[in-house]
Amino acid sequence: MSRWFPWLLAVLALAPLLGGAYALRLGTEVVAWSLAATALAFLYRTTGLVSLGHSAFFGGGAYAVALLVRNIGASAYPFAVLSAVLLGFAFSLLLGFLGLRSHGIFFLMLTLACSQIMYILVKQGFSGITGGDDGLPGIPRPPGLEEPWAYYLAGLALLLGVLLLYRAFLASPLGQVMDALRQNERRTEVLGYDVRRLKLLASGLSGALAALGGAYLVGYRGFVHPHDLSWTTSGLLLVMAVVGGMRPLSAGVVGATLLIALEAFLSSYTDLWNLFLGLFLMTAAWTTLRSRRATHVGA
Amino acid sequence: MWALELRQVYKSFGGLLALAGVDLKVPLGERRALVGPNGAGKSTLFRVAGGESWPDRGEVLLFGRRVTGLPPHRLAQMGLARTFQVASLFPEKDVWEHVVLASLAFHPLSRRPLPRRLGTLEDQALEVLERVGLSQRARTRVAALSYGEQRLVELAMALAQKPRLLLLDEPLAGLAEEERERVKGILQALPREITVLLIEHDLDFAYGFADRVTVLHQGQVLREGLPEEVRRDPQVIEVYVGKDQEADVAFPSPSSPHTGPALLEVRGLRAGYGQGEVLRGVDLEVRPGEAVGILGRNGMGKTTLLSALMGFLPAQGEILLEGKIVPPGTLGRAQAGLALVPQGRQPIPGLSVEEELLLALRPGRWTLETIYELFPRLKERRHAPSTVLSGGEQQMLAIARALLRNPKLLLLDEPTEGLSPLLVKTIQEVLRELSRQGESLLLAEQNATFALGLVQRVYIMEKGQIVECTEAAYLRREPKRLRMWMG
Repeated sequence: MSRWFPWLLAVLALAPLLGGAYALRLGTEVVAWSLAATALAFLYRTTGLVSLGHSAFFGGGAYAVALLVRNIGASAYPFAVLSAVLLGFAFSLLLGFLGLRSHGIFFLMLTLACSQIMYILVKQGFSGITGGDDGLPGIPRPPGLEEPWAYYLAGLALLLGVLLLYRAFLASPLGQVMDALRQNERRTEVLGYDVRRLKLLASGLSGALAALGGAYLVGYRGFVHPHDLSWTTSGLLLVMAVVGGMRPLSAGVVGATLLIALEAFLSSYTDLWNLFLGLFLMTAAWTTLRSRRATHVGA
Repeated sequence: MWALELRQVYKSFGGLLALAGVDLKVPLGERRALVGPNGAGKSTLFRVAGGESWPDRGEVLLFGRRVTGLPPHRLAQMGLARTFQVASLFPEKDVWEHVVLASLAFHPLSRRPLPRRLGTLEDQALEVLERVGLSQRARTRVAALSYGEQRLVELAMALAQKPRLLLLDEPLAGLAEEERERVKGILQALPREITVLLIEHDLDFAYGFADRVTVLHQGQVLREGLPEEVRRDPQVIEVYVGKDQEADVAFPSPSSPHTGPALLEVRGLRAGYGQGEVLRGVDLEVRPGEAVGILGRNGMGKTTLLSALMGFLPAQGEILLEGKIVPPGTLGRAQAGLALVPQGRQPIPGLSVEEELLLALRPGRWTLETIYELFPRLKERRHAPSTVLSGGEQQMLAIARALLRNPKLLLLDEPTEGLSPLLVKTIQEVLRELSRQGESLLLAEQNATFALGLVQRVYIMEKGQIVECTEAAYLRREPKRLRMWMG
């Protein structure tokens, strides 16, 4: 973990005390997206798989919580969040099964297809239950966390917990095996590791974490919308993870913070903020590539 | 009971029948050598036995159990370990982590998702590293190791797996003399409970090590028996070493005068990986039409030198081609007229032989037709995917590919590595022919006999520096002098 990373978290934690309601809103968004982007980065770090379908788990988790809380009441939150996480795990495991023998672009397309099916089902297939195009409004905050700052701090604690677990996992024997799996899958298998099981596990955990991010998002925002399931959401998560560098522990958090902060900053100046965001990303990618090439030493 | 049994195994790749009905029975505790010329199907047999490829037909049995179609990790759990001909490692991990990873596979700790001290496993890993002589390098990333050291990591991993059946794919290839002796010692000292199946081109070692020898030829078992019987079998000698073993005296004419300005001039070349400097100021010269050898043991910087010349690594110092400083970067060097035949051949996955050749083609003296004349074998196989070629064919392809660039200077990195004696001779003849036709060659080799039969002048490299420059003829007359440097 980089040395400045804890400081970044500390600054994040101070945001609600100093910046007022708007900063608090941004901070909460950062936490939610960080969780999901970390899930994506985790999948890459442990298996080398890149998913373009994590909106299915992110939005899916949000929808699961929304439906349960609307039908049972705010007291159902613990149960709802747990169900969302378990569902995320189960669905991601299923997707993992389909994707076991595929790599690279094929896995990417497969995840994209699955998340699009989910999107269409929610948007048009079962609009009676899911609210169709309009989504589901009026979802209360969890009891005890009604105050925005309390909800935010709870999220921050959750994120910190996730990152600490992630770090411990990477240092663990299993994490080392997973790291090897990303680097040379065939060799890992020949050494006697059940590569399929490891990939399934990573896939499941990633889905669960993304669902947790979605659950956190909906509790703060109070509504869900089919857009949460669309492929642009997947794309944004992927961009966040990539901007953060994919492999470091901090990838998801750095990417989410950077993108959300940039969006907030640019959109206060111009309606064309997307254009400038794109330019920024291209410049960032270009300079990284150049510096990589400069320091690259082949072996 | 048999440790390993193959029953009528067939396996083909892209139209090439690599295994054509192989029957093989290796009893428990036996040491078996699997020999045969390149392309005989030895590596394919290992892949099938290890569960990486499934046979098209036939059965594989491991310790009496039918395992056809089981994934590799299941076979590993049953006690099978193997090494790869070309080291297959985890580039970002260090040596020690590799060995721990290998010994962890069947340990309950490997399922621990939270940090745990590995205790005895760590000690065992150090012990294994001590045995193969890598304990000094325990904390070095494998990407920074020399090729021979990477092969030793392969062996260390296989030993750490504590196998009951060990498949070794050319454990001596690519090793320096000192490392070879060490590995031979390790293999000889393996406990007899471990059944060993070994592919090796060093026939003296293979015959000395094995209880029995199986000769594979064109995907079939040609002969099986005691080492002494097999060694004398005329049929085996013919397929393996070629008919005229002794006709190897036609040395190149000692330095027909290669005068004039140097084609390649290197001055004070320094390069390395990350922090470590591998080349410490290399000076050398190749004159037009000359064949020059760089000899030296493993890890002395031969590959690094060629990589630096080709612009794969940033380097300091001067490189002049025909008196002009070469541009930086691999593309610039290639356009300036350097072409490399890389170690390990590096075929391009997804391309057929002919496609790969056409990709390299640049107008000049060498055309597809003249190349096919030089390598009729490549013409026969021109529609096959380049990755399914045998090691020897891939080497021909690599040379052909570089020639089609019509370079001013051809760089070759260990072109004989892992080739059978017959093929070494073929490659040597091809290179001699090239030299006769006026191509300039710069050859990095640790096979001194091969190189000296080919080049006119020799540089000897030691620890990243040129320590001697001499006529090849002199070293041929004075083998003692050579042995001093090559160990």
